Amino acid sequence: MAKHDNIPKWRTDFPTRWIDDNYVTRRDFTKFLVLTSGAIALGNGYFVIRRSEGPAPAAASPMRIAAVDELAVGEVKLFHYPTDNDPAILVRIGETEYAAYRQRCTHLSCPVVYKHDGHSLECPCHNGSFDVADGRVLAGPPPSRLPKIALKIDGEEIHAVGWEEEA
Amino acid sequence: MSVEKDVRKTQRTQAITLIMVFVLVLVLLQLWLLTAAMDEFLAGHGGLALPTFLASCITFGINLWLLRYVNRIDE
Repeated sequence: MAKHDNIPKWRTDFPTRWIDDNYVTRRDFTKFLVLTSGAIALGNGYFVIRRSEGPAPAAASPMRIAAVDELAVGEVKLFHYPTDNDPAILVRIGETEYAAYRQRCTHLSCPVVYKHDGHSLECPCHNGSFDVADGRVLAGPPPSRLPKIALKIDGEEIHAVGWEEEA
Repeated sequence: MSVEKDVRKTQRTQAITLIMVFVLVLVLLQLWLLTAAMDEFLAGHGGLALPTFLASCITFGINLWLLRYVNRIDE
């Protein structure tokens, strides 16, 4: 710019007048854009790194979730399975029927909640809905069924013993 | 002589504006790629992570090349 021709660069970077301080040239704006571009590329690299770490192991060790009489019909219990970073939900759907699922919606990983009247698991973020009996999608944007945790009732105890295969 | 100088200055300004708009469009494209990768990742997949990363890096490379041109205009 002509008005800066005879002024040292530090004076233009740190001007005295406020109006000059807020003035951004197209050159500087382009430089900031390129910096942003590099940051976005790095951010994209984060997903590559996370992907290379791989998913949680499919074969998880058995874990006690609850006692058989701990939940009334229609009640739920939240737990973590197979690791502490994997929220899961156990629902007692009948006198002798239980179902447990990964508590992350298959759309954008929001936590799903049990809807007592409709016998479904609902995702409040985008109104996704899953059948509480088998985890299939009933409504909304989820692209696939909710991963179901295999349960084993051993006497008075309910155990998670891995993942059920998709039907 | 002065007219020629003015024309050259106008041309430089136009070139920088054009480059700025082009870089801005590429950054918006990168944001879209990032959103697509994040969407896939949160859905429990990851197939788009590498292609979007490569496309984003190439776009960043183009932006760097354009920035070099901006700096050259300044000199």
